[in-house]
Amino acid sequence: MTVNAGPAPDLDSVQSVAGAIHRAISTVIEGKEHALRTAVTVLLAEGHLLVEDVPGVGKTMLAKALARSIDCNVSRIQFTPDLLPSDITGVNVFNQDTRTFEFRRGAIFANIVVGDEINRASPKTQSALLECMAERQVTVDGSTYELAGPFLVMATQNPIEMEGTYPLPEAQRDRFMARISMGYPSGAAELAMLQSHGEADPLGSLEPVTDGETVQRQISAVRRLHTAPALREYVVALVTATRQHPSIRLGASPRAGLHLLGAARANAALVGRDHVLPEDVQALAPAVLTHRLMLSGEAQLTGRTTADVVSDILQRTPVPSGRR
Amino acid sequence: MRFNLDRGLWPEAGLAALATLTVAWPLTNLLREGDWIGPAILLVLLVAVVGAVLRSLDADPTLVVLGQALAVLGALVWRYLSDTLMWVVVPGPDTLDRATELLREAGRTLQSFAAPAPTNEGVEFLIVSVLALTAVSVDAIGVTGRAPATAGLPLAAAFLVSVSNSGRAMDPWFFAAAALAWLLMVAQQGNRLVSGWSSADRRESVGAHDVSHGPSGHRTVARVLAVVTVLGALVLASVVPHLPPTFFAEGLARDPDGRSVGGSGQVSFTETMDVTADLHDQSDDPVIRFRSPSRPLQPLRVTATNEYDGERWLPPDYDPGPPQAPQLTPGTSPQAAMADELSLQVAEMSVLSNSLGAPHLALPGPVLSVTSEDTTMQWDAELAAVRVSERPDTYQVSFLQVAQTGRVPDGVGDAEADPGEWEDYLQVDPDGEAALSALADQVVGDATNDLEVANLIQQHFRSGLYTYSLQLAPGAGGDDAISHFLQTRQGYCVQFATAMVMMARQQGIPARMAVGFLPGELQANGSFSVVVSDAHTWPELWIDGLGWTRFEPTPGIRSGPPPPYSELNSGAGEEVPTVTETATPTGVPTQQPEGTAEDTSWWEDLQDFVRSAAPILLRALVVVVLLGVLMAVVAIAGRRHRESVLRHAATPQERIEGQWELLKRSLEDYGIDPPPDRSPREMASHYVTAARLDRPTADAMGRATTVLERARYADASRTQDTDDTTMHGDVMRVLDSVSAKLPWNIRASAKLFPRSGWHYLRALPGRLLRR
Repeated sequence: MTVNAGPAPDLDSVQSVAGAIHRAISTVIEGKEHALRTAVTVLLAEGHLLVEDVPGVGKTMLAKALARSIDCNVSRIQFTPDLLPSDITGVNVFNQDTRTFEFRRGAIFANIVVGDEINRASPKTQSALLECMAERQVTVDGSTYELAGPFLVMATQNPIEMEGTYPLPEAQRDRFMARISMGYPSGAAELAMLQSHGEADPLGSLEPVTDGETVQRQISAVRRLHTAPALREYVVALVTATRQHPSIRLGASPRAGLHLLGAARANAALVGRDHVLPEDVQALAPAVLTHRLMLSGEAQLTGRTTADVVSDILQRTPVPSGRR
Repeated sequence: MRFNLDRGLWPEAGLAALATLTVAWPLTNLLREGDWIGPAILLVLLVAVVGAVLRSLDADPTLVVLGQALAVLGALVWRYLSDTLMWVVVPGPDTLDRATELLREAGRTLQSFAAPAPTNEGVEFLIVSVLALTAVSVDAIGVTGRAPATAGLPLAAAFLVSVSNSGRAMDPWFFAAAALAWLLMVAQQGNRLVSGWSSADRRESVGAHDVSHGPSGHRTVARVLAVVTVLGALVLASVVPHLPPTFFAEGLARDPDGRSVGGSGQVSFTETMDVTADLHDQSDDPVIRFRSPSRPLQPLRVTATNEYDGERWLPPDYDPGPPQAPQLTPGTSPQAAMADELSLQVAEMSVLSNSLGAPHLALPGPVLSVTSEDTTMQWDAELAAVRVSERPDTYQVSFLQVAQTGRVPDGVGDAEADPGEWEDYLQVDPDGEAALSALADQVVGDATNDLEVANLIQQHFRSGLYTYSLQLAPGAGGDDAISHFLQTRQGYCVQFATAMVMMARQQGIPARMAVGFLPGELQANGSFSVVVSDAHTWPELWIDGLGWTRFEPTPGIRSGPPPPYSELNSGAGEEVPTVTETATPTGVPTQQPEGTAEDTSWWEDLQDFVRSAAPILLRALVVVVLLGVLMAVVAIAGRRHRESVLRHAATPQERIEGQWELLKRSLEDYGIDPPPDRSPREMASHYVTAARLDRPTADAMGRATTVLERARYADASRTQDTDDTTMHGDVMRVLDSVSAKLPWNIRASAKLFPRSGWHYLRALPGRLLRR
């Protein structure tokens, strides 16, 4: 049985487009291969990306660089405590001339939305993103507006322990396909950064390497990638394992499974492989699963992290061979 | 062919040679002279050097062993059989005969001498050959085959042979030295193995284990373990009561009736008696159990000998009469030679169990008849001994006994024996003659009657001047055995009897040594039990009118009280001796014409050998066949298990899965377990590490993995029909490479007793039930 229909995906094109984007971002962000790769993967898998780290390590820079490298509609929202949901989604404004209400689009109407410091807005405002991110549409005053593809929300946030932050609600977190963490750059990368950023703004010289339409084509190519039944079993087994793990209070949702499979597909496509391997799933599982899991009280007290649990689950879950 | 010193494994070869020589050390106790030591050391070293040189030349293991065997053969022929060679190097027709002769000589010597046996050329040839062959097998298994632990088997076998048969407890040093030598072999091999591990592997151990220890940590653990093992073995051996090594060699409690618990089914009888040696064998192995109403019980006589070489009594030359079965009667009636007035009674003895090995039979004397259903008997008239073809389990004897109330008739012993007729029985040991004659003058005085002289001599030895002891007095330097005994007056039956025989001969009375057993102990059930330590020897003197007459010069516990009839005697100072045998010895023993026997002997020998060995061979054959069947069953089951997925495969994908399963299960047979339920790539990387695959093999493994991934995870159209064949090639390449790097024993066990075979057989009942 096969779930994938249509012609074989053009993986060379996927690889070349993704490679170009990757190279472009690399000129701005140095020494963060893994983060960059995950970002491109999420873009191709049609997901949304959450970048979480302490201030000043280049979260926003990454988001902006990715947005700038693609010639498409980009908007940026600075989340602040007084930001209103309508600032994001848009609002109906009464036109005095026509004497009708006109819809004024919010910042979300773009191909790439950079949401900076998303957890500084109140949960109410954060929730405005729920519908757009999951359903790629906006409903205001009973009218629904479709969002054009590609659509990628890249949000950055500070760790929740920081001053003036609101934790993202579970539903919000679940809508992000992956969460990555930048981490401090290595000494050499930091030196190089001081040098390049001192002379000129590298972001300023970053030219788009592709356009939104091309990216959308790659996304649909990735979507057609073959996934074997054994592999899908593996994804389900992993997701189920998070729900049964003793250290976990809230396991991964079915959406997490979809996201994991999608991300694995993109990962395979990035290396030009037309089928997904357990290794693709394993490579993306930490980024896709950790931010959705909630540790039990005991596990928190013992100092375990969700990353530990995911690694434990990966270690223990058998890889189905598909043979009966 | 390049010479590589490192590949020769010289230190290992040296240690193997050392181990072989160490297990041969106890042989110094079994053999009197050390003539064999030099050649043995040279030959063992030769084996080591030849092996190491051939290995250095990267010769095939079979060639190495062959080379060593040839070197040993050459050296043995050159050393012992060189006079039979043609043109100095080619073995001639006599070579094999000579070798057989040497081995026969060795066999005779080892059979007829108690330890320590003299080292003649035959014995030396045998010992050196066996040691050299042991060295070859130890080197082949331990060094060439790189299984030093298994090399302990030939070492243990050689050790068992060399420590057993001395009749004494094993010297702990022998064991400690042998164990140490073997452990050194194992340690050296382990050391080489560990130091061969690459540094990459060392880094891999970061994690659960403390990497700072690494291989050197293992080495310390191994050393501690080795020391603890050796110490433990020594302590255990000294604390736990143990059995003499012969028990292991001969097997425990083989007697089906359980009568001889702890002993073998058979007691072999040594006819040689060494006058100069201490007595060691105090074994309680049963020899005979019998019932007899006759009292007093006489010693059971086995044979007699008259040849003395200055140190020991040699086995007699037998000249048996025609075979008789099932009842044997002596050629001449024993009564014929007896003095008419002697009051004689016919007595009976019934042997309930007999462990004395053929051809010997223990009998009271003089014998009237022997009845046994189990064997064919022959009567040796001169020695008054019965020879049997097989050991009878039971037999009945009727014999003559001098009445306890009788007295010796007048005139007995008056006539002198004719020195011409009795020449063989009158030879006095020339070394001891002076001492004997001095003592005889003192003891005998002017008595002339042979019986009176004999009684005087017997009384002298029983008089309390002599001490009965299994240990001889320390050597007085340069003295011959008899003078030494007469001077130190300490010894056991052999010395007493020898002295009496010689003194009687010196006085002109024909005399010989009789060998047999004391009548043993009365058991609760009324039977008598004779054990090995009841072995006894006594003099028999030819007294005119009585024939061969038993005397008992040995005092003390071993021989019991003096013959009871001496107390019944009528005060004349004369004992009534027991008459043991009366057949008149013929001056010239009649010899069988030997021509025909010689011609057919080898064929008969062979037939005899085949006949006697047939049951053992048959049993061995059955065991071998069973083992072969078992091997075949497991091997076939293993093949079925390994190929089961492949056999049922219908699609190309299934065939590829089958190939992977074949790889997985074959590697499991080689001892490389698969990680449980991992992805193909993880498994491949596990195999690359666990089996230390080299680059080309790892590439083959990578290709096989890619094919599997494509079959398992990609669209069905991506798998081609030829993928299966390509993958099979890669799988075989991996398996061949892994197998080539394994030691031969693991390879052999993977082929003969594969784990997959056991899996299959274990799962078989369930599978059949489901069906």
